[in-house]
Amino acid sequence: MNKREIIYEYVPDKKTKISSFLDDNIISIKNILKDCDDVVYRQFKIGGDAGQDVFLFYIDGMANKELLDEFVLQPLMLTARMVPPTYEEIKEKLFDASKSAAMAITDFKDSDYIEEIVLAVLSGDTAIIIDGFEKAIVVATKYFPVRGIQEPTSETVIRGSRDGFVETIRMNTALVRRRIRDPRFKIKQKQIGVRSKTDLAIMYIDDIADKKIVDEIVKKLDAINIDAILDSGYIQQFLEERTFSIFPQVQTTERPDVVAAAVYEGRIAILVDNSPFALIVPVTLTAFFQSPEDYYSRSDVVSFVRILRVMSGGLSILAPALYIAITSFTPGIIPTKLALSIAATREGVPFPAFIEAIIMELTLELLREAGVRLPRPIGSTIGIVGGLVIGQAAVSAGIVSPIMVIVVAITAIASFTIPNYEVSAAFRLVRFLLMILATIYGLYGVMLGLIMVLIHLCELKSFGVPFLAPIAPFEPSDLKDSLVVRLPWKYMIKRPKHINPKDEIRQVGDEDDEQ
Amino acid sequence: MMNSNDKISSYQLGVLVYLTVLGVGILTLPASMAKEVENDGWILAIIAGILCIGIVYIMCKVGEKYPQNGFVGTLKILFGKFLGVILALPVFFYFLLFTSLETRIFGETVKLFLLSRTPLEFIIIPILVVSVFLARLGIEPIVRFFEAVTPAILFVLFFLILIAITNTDFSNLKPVLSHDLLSFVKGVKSALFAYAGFEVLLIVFPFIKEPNKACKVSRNAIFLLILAYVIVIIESYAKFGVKLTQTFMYPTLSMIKASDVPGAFIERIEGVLEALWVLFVYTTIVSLLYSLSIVAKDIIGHIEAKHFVAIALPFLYLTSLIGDSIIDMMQYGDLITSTLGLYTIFILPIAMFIVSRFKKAGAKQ
Repeated sequence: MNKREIIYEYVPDKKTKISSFLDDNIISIKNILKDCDDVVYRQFKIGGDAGQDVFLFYIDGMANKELLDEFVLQPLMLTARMVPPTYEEIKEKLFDASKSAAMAITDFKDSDYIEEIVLAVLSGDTAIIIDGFEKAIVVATKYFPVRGIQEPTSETVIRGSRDGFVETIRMNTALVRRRIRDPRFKIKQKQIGVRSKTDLAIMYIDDIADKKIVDEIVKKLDAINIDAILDSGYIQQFLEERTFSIFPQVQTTERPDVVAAAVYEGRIAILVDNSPFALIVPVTLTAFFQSPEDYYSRSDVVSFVRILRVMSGGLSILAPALYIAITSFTPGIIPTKLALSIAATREGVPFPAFIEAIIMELTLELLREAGVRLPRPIGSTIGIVGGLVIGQAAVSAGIVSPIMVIVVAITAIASFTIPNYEVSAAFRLVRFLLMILATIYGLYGVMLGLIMVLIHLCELKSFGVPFLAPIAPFEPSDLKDSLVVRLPWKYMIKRPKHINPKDEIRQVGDEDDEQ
Repeated sequence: MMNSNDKISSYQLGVLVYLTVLGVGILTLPASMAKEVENDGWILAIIAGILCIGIVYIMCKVGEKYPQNGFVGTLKILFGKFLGVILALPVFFYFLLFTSLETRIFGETVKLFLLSRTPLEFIIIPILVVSVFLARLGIEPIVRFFEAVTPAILFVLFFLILIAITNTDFSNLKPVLSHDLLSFVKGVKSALFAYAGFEVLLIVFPFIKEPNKACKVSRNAIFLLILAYVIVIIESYAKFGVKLTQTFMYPTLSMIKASDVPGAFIERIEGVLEALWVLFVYTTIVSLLYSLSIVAKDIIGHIEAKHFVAIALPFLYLTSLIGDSIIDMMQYGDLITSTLGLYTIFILPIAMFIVSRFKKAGAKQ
C-alpha cells in the first residue's frame, strides 16, 4: 500500500499514483478539475449497499452518455448482481472481473496515474476508479459533435471521389485507411502542444517511404514545444526548412484520395486533429500543378490541361510585367498597329504604365480578398461592383487603359487555373516583383526577375528532395508524370524516382512496356 | 541537408560545359570567322572544336589520375607547393578577366537592343549581383539551375536557327576550302576561344560523381556546340555573304533582324531574343564566377569559396568597364585570350598532362 498522497495543485508532467483509498483520489481529481464545470462526477456501489464504492467521471458533451448508462452503469449496478458469481465471491478481484465480465465495451485501457486519467477524460474518455484498487479503467467514450463528410471546397473535381477530410482525426485516418488496406501502411500517432495535447498522425507505407524522411519528420515534431496546435498550418510552418520562402514546401490537401496517392508514391502524410487539411511531404513544384483529377481522366486530355496550366502559370506571373516592359521600353517588339492602338488608348491616361498596372492589380487583389471574407450572399455583389463598376468606370474616367483591364482580367483567370492555392498566392507575389523590375529595366528586368525566382526554386528543397525535381535534377523516367504530360497508367510502371522510394516498382508488368 | 550538396551527375556535367561555353561568343562568331578565313569559317570552327575535344581528353586524363585533389591541388602535386600556386595565379586572372569581358559584351548588346538610354553601369551591376546570388550557393544549386534553363535555351537556339533560315542563299558558301593550311593555323587561335569556358572541367572535376564518364560527356557537349556554331556560321554566310558578315558587330543578332517571319505576332524578334539571351550569358558568368571562387579559395587556403564570389564583385565591375568603347574592349579581350586564355586552355593542361605522365600513380592522396 503506497503512502496517502493528495494533489492540491496540477503540475504538468508530474505523475501521481492512484491511491487505494478512493476518497483521496476523489479529492485529488476534484482539486485538479476545480472550476471546470463541464465535468460530471458519479459515485455508486457495486454489489448493493454493502458493496464496493466506484467513482466515475467524464466531460459532459464529449463522452457518450448513452453508452455509459447502458453498458457501464447498468451492468455494474444491476445486471452483475442478478447473475453468479456473487459480489462476495469476487470481492478481491473486482477490478478485473468488472472489466472482463461486466462491461460490454470493446475499448478499455488501464491507467495507474491520476494525471493520465485526467488527460484521457479531457479528450472525451471516461475514467472509472474502484475503491481498494490502485488503478483506474479508462473507457473510450469519445463522442462529440462532428461535421459530416462533405465535398472539399478548396479542391473540387469533376471526376473523382467527393469525400473530404473533416475536423476529427479518427474519421480522417479511417478515410485514408479505407483506400489502403495494407498492414504495411502505418499510422503513427503523437500528441503535440503542451496544453492543447493535439493528436497528430504520421502516415506512410513502411516499405515504400524513405525512412530518413520519416525520422526527420519525427525529429522535427518532437522539437515542437508550443502551447497549442490549432491547425495543421502550425505544423506546416514548423516542418518547412526555409521559413522565409514564398513557396510552400509542404503540400496541403483536403482530399483523402490525394493523401492515399501520395502515400502510395512514397511520400509521408501528416494529419492533425481539428484540421481538415492534411500535410504531405516531400513535395515538388510539379505536385502543385497537378489536380487529383489528372490521374482519373484520360491521359491525352490531362496532358493538354497540364500544358494549359503551366502556360497560365507563366501568364499569371508575366502578363502585367510584359505590359509594362513593352509599352514603356520596347514598343517596337509588337506589331506597329497594335503598338499604335495601345498608345492611342493610353493617351488620356495620366499615369505611367507601372502606376496603371499597380492600381489595377491591387484592385484585383482587393476584390479577391473581399470576396473571400464576405458572407456568401453579399460576396456575389463584390463581383458586380468590381467587374462592372470599377473596370468600366476606371476606363471611362481615363484612369486606366482598356488594354490594362484586359491584362488584369487575363492574369486573374490564369492564376485561378493553378490548382494549389498557396502556390498561386506565391505567384501573385512574384508578379509584383516582376512588375517592379520591368519598370526599372524593361524586358531585361523581367528576365533578371525570373532568374532570381528560379535561383530560389533551385536552392529550395523539401525534405532533401530538390523542389524542381524531376526537371532539375533531370530524371527522364519521372517525366512520364510531370509538369506537362501524364502517360496512361499502363506505362507508369515505376514510382517517381525523385522521392527516393524504397520500392520503385508500382506495377509488376512487362519490362518492355516501359520503352 | 540529407543529400550531399557537392556531387554532380554526368548529365549535369554535360549541361554545365555546354551552357558555360554558350555565351556571347556565338553572337560575334560568324564575323570573326569570316575575318580569318572567309568562306571556310565553318570548317575552322569544326577544327577548333575537335582541338578542344583533344584538350578535354587531356584534362580528363589528368583529372582521372587525381580525381579528388582539385585544380590547384593537382598543380601543387605536379609542380610543388610554391610553383603550383604561381602557375594557378594566371588562371585566376583569366577567369576574372574573361568574366568581365563576357559581362561587358553582354551589357553592350543589351544597351544596343533593349535599353538604349540606360547607362552601361546600370546594366552590368544587376546581372553581376544576380550572378553572385547563384554562384555563392555552391555547385549543386548551380547545376540544378542550369538543368532547369536547358529546355528554354535549347528552344531559343532551335528557334534562332529556324527563323534565320529564311531568305538564305547557300551558294554564298562557295568556294569551299580555298585557303591554305597556314591561314587555318593562324585562324584557329581565335576560333578556339569561341569554345572558351570548357576549362571549368578542370575546376569541377572533384565534384563529378563518375569521373570516368566525364570525358565522354564533355566531348558530347562540345560536339553539340560545334553543331550549333557551324549552323549559325553557315546561316550567316548564306544570308549576308562573307563580305557583309565581316562588317557586322553581332552577325547572329543581325541575322535575326534581317529575317522575316511571315504572320508572326512579334515584330522585332531580335529584341525578344536579346532578352532571352540573358540566360545564355548568365549561365556563363555564373559558371566562370564559381570557378574563379574555387581557384581563389585553393590558392589562399581553406576558406569558404562563397566569400570570394562576393569579394570578386567589385573587381568584376571595374574590369568590365575597361575601355571607352566596345572596340577598345574587344582589343583588350583579344589580348586576354591570346595570353592568359592560351595559357589556361592550352599550355597549362598540356604541361599538367606531360608532368603527370612522369609522376608515379602512387602520388594520389
